[in-house]
Amino acid sequence: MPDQSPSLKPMTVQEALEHAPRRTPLDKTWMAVLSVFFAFYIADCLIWFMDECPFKEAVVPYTHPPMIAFGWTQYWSLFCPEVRNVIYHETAVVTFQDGSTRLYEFPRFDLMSEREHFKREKLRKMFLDNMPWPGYEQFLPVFGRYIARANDNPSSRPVQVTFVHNICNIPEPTLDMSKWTYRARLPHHTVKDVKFVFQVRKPDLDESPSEEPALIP
Amino acid sequence: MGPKLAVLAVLGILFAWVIVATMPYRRQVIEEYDRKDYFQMVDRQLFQEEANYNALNENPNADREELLDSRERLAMLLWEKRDFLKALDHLQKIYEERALIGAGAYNSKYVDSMLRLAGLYRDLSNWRAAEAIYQALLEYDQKYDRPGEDIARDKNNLGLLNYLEATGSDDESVRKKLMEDARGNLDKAVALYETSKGPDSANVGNTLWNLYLVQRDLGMKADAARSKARAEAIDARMNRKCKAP
Amino acid sequence: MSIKDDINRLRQGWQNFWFAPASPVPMALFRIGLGLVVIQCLVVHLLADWHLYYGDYAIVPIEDMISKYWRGDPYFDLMLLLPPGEEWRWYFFWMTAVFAGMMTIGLFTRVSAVLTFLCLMSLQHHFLINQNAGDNYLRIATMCVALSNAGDALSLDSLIKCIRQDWRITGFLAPLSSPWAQRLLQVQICLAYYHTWVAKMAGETWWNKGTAVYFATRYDDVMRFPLPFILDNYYCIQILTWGTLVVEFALWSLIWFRATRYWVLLAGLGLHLGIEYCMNLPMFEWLFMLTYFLFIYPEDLERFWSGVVAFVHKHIARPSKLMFDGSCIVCVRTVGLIHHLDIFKLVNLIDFRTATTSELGLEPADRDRLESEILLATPSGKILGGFQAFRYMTGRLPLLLALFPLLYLPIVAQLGELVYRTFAANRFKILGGRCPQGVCQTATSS
Repeated sequence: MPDQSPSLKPMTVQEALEHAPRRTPLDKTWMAVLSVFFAFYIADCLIWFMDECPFKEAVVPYTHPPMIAFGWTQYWSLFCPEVRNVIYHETAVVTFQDGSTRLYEFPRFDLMSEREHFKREKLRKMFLDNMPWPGYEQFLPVFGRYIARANDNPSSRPVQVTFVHNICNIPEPTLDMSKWTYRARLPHHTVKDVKFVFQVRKPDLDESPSEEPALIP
Repeated sequence: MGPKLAVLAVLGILFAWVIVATMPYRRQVIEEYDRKDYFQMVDRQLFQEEANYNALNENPNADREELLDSRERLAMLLWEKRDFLKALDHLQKIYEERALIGAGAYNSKYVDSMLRLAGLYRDLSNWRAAEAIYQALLEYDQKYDRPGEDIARDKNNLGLLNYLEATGSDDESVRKKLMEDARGNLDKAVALYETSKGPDSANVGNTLWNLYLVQRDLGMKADAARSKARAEAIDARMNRKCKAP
Repeated sequence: MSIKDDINRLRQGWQNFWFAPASPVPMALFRIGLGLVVIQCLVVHLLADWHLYYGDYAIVPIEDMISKYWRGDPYFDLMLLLPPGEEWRWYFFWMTAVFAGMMTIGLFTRVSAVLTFLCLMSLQHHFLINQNAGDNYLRIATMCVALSNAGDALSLDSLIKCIRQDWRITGFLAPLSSPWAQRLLQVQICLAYYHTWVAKMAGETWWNKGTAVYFATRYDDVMRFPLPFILDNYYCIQILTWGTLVVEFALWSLIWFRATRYWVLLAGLGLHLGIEYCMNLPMFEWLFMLTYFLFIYPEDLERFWSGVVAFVHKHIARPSKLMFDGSCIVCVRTVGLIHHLDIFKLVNLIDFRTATTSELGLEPADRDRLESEILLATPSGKILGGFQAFRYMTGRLPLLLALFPLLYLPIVAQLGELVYRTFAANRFKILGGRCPQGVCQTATSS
């Protein structure tokens, strides 16, 4: 807290306009503790960024828990080392008990208005940046179950959800402008790659416990 | 230093307590969900069904239908594992066998096997093969004078297949033609479902969603908006707890 | 000897960097911007699909998040302690927004910032797979604000404090303190730039071919506004790609040198604004640009603001003179509050007890009024006292501008006079202090 000793001569307006009090300075112990904290934080972040190597493997059991517990996890390697050279969107073909099919399109950000896109960016992160890519396969059955439930109806229940990755390459840039791919004229996402096939089982729709759920006939 | 340290200590204890106090719950959840792990379950079921099918296959007295059903379950599990070629081989054989069984009368199992086979060809982006089977199924249903909802299902599936094929093509003229075919089939499917199952049935809703995509991609904004609005209204009446974004 | 000197120099340098007292104003500015971004994240991005993330039928329930993502890792999540039912998570969500609002306006800043950090981290950990780099930075930045003295300036806390303090002892400026939390955030953003630069340097499309920007600007899922010619020209693409590498290198290295700092920040602004124009990636760019406040030297901020004030005085409104009784503690505290609200310095304070006659520039009759009420001399020379002076000032204090039209309503003016006289009569009870020799009594009560 600023020094408010009553014995000090009160300042004039002009003096007060130029005067800033000082909070009690930190003592040496605090400075030492904080210095250790800064060093640990910086080292922890640098180790987090490192590629896998024996050193990282050895220290990770000590550095990862605080990173995670205190929310220091961070990834700044966006668009690198190589930028993605494909554009895509995700769909799911839902097959019902009666044999009919429905195409569910995950939100299409390339077709949304600016405002809608801005609002729903987190959906894009989930469905486009994470769901179709390695590292998130364990969530595909969870998404499959959710899509099945979102299409459930008593007269004909969903029996299968097929996740399709609709993708195409962005053509390489070229000095020949007749072959240039303009931003306004991007190619269609024509290649269909089936990423995951989820056969719907009874507990997926009814939330009833089952040891070994069978496929819906 | 004293008050600061006290505050930090309280915060630290709170932090640690939140994590430590919930650790037993987290461990319990992990154990339970590991037991119910989806991928291990599929592997287990595939292993069991393979053994079951092999046992039936080797048994000369095994019931033919039971063998075909087991083979079908095996094919579905292989499909789920994305072992498409093995699954295709099984489904193709099942289809051929059931065609012989159901030669004289309407056979729903034969229809199911056609639907599965066409679905797998669709997933493999083999549009010609899938279309041929869906078309054959449509003619089969028409031959046996099936109710409107069966014809509607076939029209819907053909329409969706046309749309998927359209979106798989770079050629604008091919896309347009296929989209128009899709629209025609889906329009008919909607009409037939409305008559057979009612205008607000789930089937109408699903077909309208398919139609909406076609109309949107054809640039028919007003029609697309109408189809979407109707489909959303039908979905809302279903009172589903999960709502797809 | 020389090694010892080097070590001492290093130690001194380290201590100066992390602990030498500095103004909290840059951190306060950052706090306000950060608070607004946190509120944006909650109310715009998460609220849009709230039930999908946190509802009873969430697309990835917490059990799946724990078993498939967290596994044994010690993720902090207060929401695990809530009773079952989505209504509790709903209240928790809105509580977080309230804490963020409090942090933004600087009310109980330390507590609200800590709570915002803990609640935001809980919301993020509860549903991890919709997070991007902007969310990571939001969380880390909130932690740094919670550790800092960001509430010492540009905050309600500092306003409340100024009512209680005597500026003749403490001065008007925000208290200086160790800026270690600010330094931590500066180091953090440099680590971010370092990591992204190193990662990009390993990429062929970045370093070698120079075509990375071509691909990045063709993602139809994030594409925003058109930029014809520049983004459809091969050489411009290469310049932008390699330029990005140069700017990002400078943003973690040259930014630490005074001579290059502001050029580097300008380049960084150009980079982030360019990305913001071309790509729809909410929060990220704005968070990084807000962090640039922390790199502006406080004296330069002061100089900039003086320029703004001079502009306002020249083109919008000239300052008035507020004359007060410097021996009356109540009056001192009141003008201290007015000064804190007077961001454009449109009210010059004059203690009539110590000012000369020429400084006051008042008629004898008006000088007598000074014993019983504050007097305001407008730029046109008009003398206003009491409530009228206060009413005039609200039109010039942006933070009280909303009150200005109300104070001219017919009944309000009379009520205002009554309130002022009652306040003046009881001001030592309300604002504290003593009034020796009855100096603080009003003319009506004396």
